[in-house]
This record gives sequence, C-alpha cells and structure tokens, in this order.
Amino acid sequence: MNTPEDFLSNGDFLKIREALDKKQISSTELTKLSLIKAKAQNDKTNALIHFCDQQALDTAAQADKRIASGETGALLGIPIAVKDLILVKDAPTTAASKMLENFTAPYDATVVSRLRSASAPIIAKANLDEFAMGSSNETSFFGCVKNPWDLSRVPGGSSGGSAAAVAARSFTLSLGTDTGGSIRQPSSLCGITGLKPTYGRVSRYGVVAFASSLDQVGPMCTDALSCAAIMDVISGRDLHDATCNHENKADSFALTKAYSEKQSLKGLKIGLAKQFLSSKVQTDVHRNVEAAIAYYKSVGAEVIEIDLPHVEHSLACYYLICTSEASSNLARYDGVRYGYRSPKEDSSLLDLYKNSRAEGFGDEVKRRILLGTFALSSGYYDDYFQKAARIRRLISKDFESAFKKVDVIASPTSPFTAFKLGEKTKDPLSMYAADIFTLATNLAGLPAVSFNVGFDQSNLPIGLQLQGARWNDNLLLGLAALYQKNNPGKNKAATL
Amino acid sequence: MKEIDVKKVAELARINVNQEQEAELKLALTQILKHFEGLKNVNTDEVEPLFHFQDQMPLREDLAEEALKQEELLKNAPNHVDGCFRIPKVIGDH
Repeated sequence: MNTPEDFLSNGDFLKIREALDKKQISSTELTKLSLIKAKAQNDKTNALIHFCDQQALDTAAQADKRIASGETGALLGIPIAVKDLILVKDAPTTAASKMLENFTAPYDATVVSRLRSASAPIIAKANLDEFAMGSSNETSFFGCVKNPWDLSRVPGGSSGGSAAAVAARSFTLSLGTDTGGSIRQPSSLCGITGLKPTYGRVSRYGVVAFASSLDQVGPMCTDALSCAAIMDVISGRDLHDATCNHENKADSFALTKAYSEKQSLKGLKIGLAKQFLSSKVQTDVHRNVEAAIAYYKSVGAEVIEIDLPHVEHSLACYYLICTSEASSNLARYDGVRYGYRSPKEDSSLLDLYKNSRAEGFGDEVKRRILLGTFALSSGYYDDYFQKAARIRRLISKDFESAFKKVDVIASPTSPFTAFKLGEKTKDPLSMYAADIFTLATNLAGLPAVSFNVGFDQSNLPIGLQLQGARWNDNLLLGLAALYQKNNPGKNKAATL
Repeated sequence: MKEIDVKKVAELARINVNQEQEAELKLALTQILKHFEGLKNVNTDEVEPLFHFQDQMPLREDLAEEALKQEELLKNAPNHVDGCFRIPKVIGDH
C-alpha cells in the first residue's frame, strides 16, 4: 500500500495520517485524487452538489507546508466534504432546495472555520434531502442520491450524499447533520461510521436551521478513529451558539484509540431495550446486530434488558416537535432578503411571500411546515406541541433511568437495509418509520454512533447503533473502534 | 380527532396551495395526525414540557464585533435598490 489511491480506497485513518506525516504521500496528491474520483463517481451517485476545487487545493498546499515544517494535527491535509446545509464562505449553500439554489455563503460556519484552522481541505458540498427533511435523499431539488452498494437503492437521509461518497471512497471524511437520525441512518445504509454528538457539543452557527433543539453536526467517515479526530477539531464552546457551551478537551482521538486497544470489556454494561427487541426488524439486520452484541459479550461486556416505557411515542413526539420548530425556522424564507423570489408580478407583499414559498419549497418541506404551523396554532398548541414536549421529558427521563443501570444502549440503526428508490416516497409515514430507532436520541439530546457490523443477503450494509449518556460520546467511539479493530472486513468500500 | 383546515393553516404559513394540493395535503396530514393520536393517552399530568436542554443561557461579554458589510449581505438579495430590499407597495395592504 503506497499510492494515494491505495490509502483512499482502504480508508484507514491511521494509515492515511501516517503516510502524510511520513511524507509518503502529500495532501495535494490526496486532494487532487479525491476531486478526480469524486467527480467521476458523482456521475453515478449524484452524491455531491458543488466542488470547491480551488479552496481545497489552496488548503492542501498550506497543509503540505505545515507538514514539511514538522507540524502535526489530526486532520492536517486530509480532504473532507461537508453537507450542503453547512455554510462555506464563497461557496454555494443550497440546503438542496430551490429556495437557496443561488445562495452563496457570506461567512463560514464555526465547524468550517475550525476545519480551515486545522488545514483540512474542504473539497465538496454534499447532497441531502431538502432542508434535511427526509430519510432517503429523494427530496433533494438536485435529484436523489444513489447508494453506491446498489445504484437502484437509496443511500438513506438526510445526509445521504456524505454517506454515499464516503462509502465509495471519494474521500474518507465528511460532516453531516442529525436532527432525527440523519447522520446515523445513511451511515448504516451505506456501511460507514457516523456519530451524532451530544446536543451542545458542536456549534450550529452557520448551519441552516431545521429544528434547533434537535439539530447537531457530526462526523461521517470510514472509521471511528476518523470520527474522533474530527470531533477534536469541531467540538467545543462557541460564542455564536449559546447552546454550545461545553469545553472541548480534544481528547476524543486519544481516548478512542486507547479504547480500541482494550483486551477486555469487563464491567461494561450494554442495555437492550425490550421496546426495541419487539420492533419489526429485517431478519438479516437482527442476526448481524445480535452477532455484534455477541462479540462485545465475548470480550467481557454484560448484556442487560432495560425498559424505555415511553420510547414507543418517539415518532409522534418527534414529528410534532421538529415540524413545529421547522415551521418557525423556515419562516425566514420570504423572497425578500435572500433566497428564491417568485417572478410573478405580485400585487402585494403577502402574495410575494405566498408565491415565493409555494414555488421555492418542495412537497415534503411544505408538508412539514404546515404540520408544524398546525401544531403551534391557536387552539391546538396545548394538544399537540406542548403535549409532545411533555412526552419528550418522559422519554428523556426513561433514558436517564436506563443509564443508571447500563453504559450504552444497543439496537439496529435502521430496521431495514437500503430500500429501492421510490419505494416509500408516496407514503410519508412509512418513510418516517425508517428512523424509528434513531429519533429518541435527539429528543433526549444524547450521543449515538452507527457503524457497520455486516451485510444482508443482497450484500447491503447493516449498522449497529450505540447510544450513550449525555457527554459520553467518546465511549461510543471507543466501542466502535474496538469492534473495527477486531472485526476486519466490515469496513469495506463500495465498488462502483 | 380535530379536523385540519389546510386552507387556514397554509394562510398562516404563508404558502399558496391550489385546490388539488389542498385535498392532497388534507389527506396526508390527517393520516399523519391520526397516527399521532396515541399521544393523548399518555398521562402527562405534572410533567413539565422539555423544550431545550439548558436551564440557563450563558451570557457573553457585551463587546462590539465586526459584522458583515451591507454590500456582502445584499449580494444574496433577489431584488434590491439603493441599499434597500425592494418589495411591492405595502401602503393600503391589510
């Protein structure tokens, strides 16, 4: 293994880091190759909306200089893509919506400015469901993303572009956002590793808002060590986001790596929620998730059944809260200050708003805005939005009690592997059910990781989800890294 | 279950919907709300709603900061003139 292509295809974070630091390959070589590969693969997968060639190559040249002068850094010189919901100065930020088709970001999101300080070349903006609303990446204004494991299937969503491109090894690192499973579910369906951090760990400044009390930015990568390296760079207090007020100790990588070298998990307790066990899950998914849990048992972990009595209400609770917050957040798109404006000759300001929003938003976004507007409207607020917020408290308390008994809670990430394009677009409820295991995490503000633990009969990836107590992100990454170190063959690239 | 008045909600959300869309949306939203009816049976007496995870917002020092320039911001405006957003006449509007 010595060419940039070998390192990219293999995707092992430690090997890439070592090759760059030993000057076996340069950041410029790796970045150029990533751009070429990403563009060629994009013809098949449609994973990326925009390429940032010049910015990326400038950063790569800077990284090579820093490496030459003996500097070190976890992400120094490693190319990365960011979901097109995250602002990168002077590049388009579309949220995969006609509404923002011509929007150019006037400033960097905090996570992006931190990637820049780390000299990680940002090579592309990744496709997503429109305004991150979807579980299949089929609501994008720029067309659906195709799963590189089977181009007739969805990559999951909403961060489907990030997941598909990493799975095909256009690059090894990306950022997604997760409001109800949008990092974890596509990571599962594409066979990569994704972390939804504890709410408040990563700044949301410069990220197009969907549901502010649920949204969180996180890494989607080839392996858990990559995710940890990204967390060390992007986490931590930001004066521009009052909800992000947690100190970044920058110890994720070191702790994750140390954990991956553990010989025994004696003392670790893994919870299995009986509510999750009774859910309808595809047989192959069930079998592979059980096998992964058996691996942890074989190295000393104890498995305990737990009860999350209110988790069955997650779906209803989540959709009422996220649509309510979205209806408020998306009120800013009015055709006046930025974004799409209807070309119709409007007689009044009200018509300008109504036409611009009717023409600029897609069907799923409109459906959610209307549902949220309804849930917040006079006469319905108490029965819908407020009721959901009370149940959210109960769900959160269920987890608090559970984490007094166990360290992590295991489940499938998704009840099924990647489904066919178009299979669920006509039925919103069946689409929403794709996130049945991931929604509660966001409602309770918890961290959760998804990583590949096997393949179904059609060679489609299967993800295991581990949820942890608040601020316990590193334990989840450690457990994922341990699995990846001792179970080779699970972290494969999809071949196109 | 309470019926959803799509026309009224769309008006509140400032989104034009035609009759065909109104019927489609009514069907979809009614189905979704019906699915959510189970929430009513959960006892939430004396349960405080959870809106966010912070009891207190941290405050920063009140310092002046460099902000984006007007011309930078207007670059994304669909219609502007003399440093202002251009909109239809509002005098006499309801």
